[in-house]
Amino acid sequence: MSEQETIIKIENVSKKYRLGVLGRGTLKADLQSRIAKMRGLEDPNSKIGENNDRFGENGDYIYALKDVSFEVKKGERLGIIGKNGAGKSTLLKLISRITAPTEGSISYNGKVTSMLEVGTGFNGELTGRENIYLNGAIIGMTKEEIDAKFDDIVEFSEIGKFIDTPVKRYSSGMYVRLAFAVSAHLNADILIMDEVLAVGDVSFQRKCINRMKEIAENENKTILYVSHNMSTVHELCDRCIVLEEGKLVYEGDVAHAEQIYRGELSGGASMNYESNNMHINPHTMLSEALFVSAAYPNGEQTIDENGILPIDISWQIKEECKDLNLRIEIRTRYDRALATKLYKNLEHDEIGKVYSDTFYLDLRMLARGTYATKYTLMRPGKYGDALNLDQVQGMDIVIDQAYNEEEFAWHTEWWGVQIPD
Amino acid sequence: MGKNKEFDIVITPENRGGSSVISELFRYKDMMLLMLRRDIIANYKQTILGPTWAVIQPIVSAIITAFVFGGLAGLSPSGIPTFLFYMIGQVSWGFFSGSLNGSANVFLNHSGLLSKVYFPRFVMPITDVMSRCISLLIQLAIFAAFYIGFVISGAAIRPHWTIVLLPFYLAHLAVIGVGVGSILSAFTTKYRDTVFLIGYLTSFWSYLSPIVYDIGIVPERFLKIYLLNPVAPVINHIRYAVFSQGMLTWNYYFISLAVGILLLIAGYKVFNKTERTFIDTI
Repeated sequence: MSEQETIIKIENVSKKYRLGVLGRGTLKADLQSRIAKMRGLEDPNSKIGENNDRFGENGDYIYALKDVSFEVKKGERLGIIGKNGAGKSTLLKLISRITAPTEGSISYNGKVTSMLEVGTGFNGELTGRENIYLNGAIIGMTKEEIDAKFDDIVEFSEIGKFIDTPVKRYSSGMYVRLAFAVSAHLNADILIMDEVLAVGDVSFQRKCINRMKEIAENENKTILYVSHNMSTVHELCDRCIVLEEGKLVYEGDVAHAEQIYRGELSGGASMNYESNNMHINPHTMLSEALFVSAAYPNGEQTIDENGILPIDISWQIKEECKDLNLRIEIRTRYDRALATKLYKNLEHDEIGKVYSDTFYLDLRMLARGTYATKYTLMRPGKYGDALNLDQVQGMDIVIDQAYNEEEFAWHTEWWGVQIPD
Repeated sequence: MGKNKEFDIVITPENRGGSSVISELFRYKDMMLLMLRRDIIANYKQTILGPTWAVIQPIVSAIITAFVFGGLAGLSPSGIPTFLFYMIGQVSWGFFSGSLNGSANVFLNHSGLLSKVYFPRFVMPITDVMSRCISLLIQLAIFAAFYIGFVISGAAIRPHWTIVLLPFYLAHLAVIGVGVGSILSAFTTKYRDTVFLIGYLTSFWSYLSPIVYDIGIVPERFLKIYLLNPVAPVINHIRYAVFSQGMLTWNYYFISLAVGILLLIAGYKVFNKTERTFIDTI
């Protein structure tokens, strides 16, 4: 799609929010602030605390977006990801002209339409039919355009004979389907979707995603999609941008974007478990050994040519213990265990002493992706079970070039994480 | 923005882009009609009396004002049935103050929708006034029925030829109402206090206008100032058109018309400035 023309161009866009106004909102408070300012006193209504470069010099305002620039090509399905408050929705509000930017410019060709959150612009007293027309009109369709698509909308929504029933009598599922059906048949060149698929059952969600893909591919429409649900982003989008505290930190393929997005959730190249008290210790009776720290040697994750990853882990013996083993679990980003490696007979003789060792993980069979890990210290119990002494969140493992990858691209989403030998 | 010539729409801090506003409003005419329909349906579905409610309210208030101001305070004019005199005042004033309040609170009342989707924001006050016109029409029909009833029972009243200007008079009231309301809308988005102030403002304003009394009771020396209230000459003309009694004050009427148009232009400007970022402060 590289030969496609640019349809949206965002240049140095910033959006500033005044904190004061957000906090006050009554004439009295505004007058108070103004009088205090005249007397040279501190504003009684200003917010205290929080100080970083997102805030203005006086802490008067916050940049919801700061100097964001990017372009979108026609027919592209762009995912926009980032933590809560990263500025995703603000960006979409600017593009859809709901509010104006403080600096910069946004240019585009064609008609932009936001897919409405479920129920916005719906009226319970009106029938399904009336709501289709009303909702279509609100998002900028004319009556003729809706007439032309009416049957498709009804069919897609699976509402059938209930179309002339007031929507307040609908089940919530029917409501969602109807709302989405209208949006999915919009007549727009650029479609904006902000967490709209968060509701609805899985099969309808899938139907919606397929419909959006179809729209983008067959009708050459552009989609901007915001979601925290990375699996839908993977399915729908062909490119991603990552926002972090109002700044654009990454622009490129979805898998890498996700790694960056997840990278801020956990991970890094070393962890100190003593200082930040991250122990997950279910049995307080069994605190014979605790993790102290973990780190990748040389300060970064390095997988050698044989697919071996070294990890330095240190632990401290708190009480007398007879046996000590280490378990390293490799997990998906949804916290499902994929594989576990066991290391036996860790040093444990002297109480109070901190031991450390390097452990090697064989990652030859693991497909490209980002994996979470968990480290557990354990010992065998009396009845042949394993007793966890200490458990911690491990460092993420990022595999960007699989050791054993075939000549074709590996689709982890569908094929799994284990590459055949 | 010469370098952005290849794009249809360029959004900058000063300009949110788009084609000229009138043509854009026209493109959304279906939306206005459907919103209007929704208002009507939603208001009266599941009420037993339905649209009758639009009628009962002005009749009841006309009866009350006729009793209080006409019967007790003795402010009723001679020759005109008290009830009719107050009813036309109430109906006109209700339409005016409704338009004013509707436009002033348009951002508050529709913030849910406005924060989710873009459409020319002026659609909202227009739809609001349109839906008020519907209930106004019902009220006027009821008024006409009473009027005919009173004439048949021998009341010495007849309409003046200026009755043909009645739609224009009412539009004039809407222009003033929407103008003032739009100016105030800038404040209601920021300060909730304004919502209460507007309530006081309109009731104060109604006493400065010939609603519950005849203009004849205003002392001659105050009349010149009194008629500068843009609503006063319009209400006065409406009464004259209906009853052929009182006085026509054309020069004050035209001053009021000019003021009304200026208010509407100013209101429109303020409205457009407010709607650009109101969602950030609401």
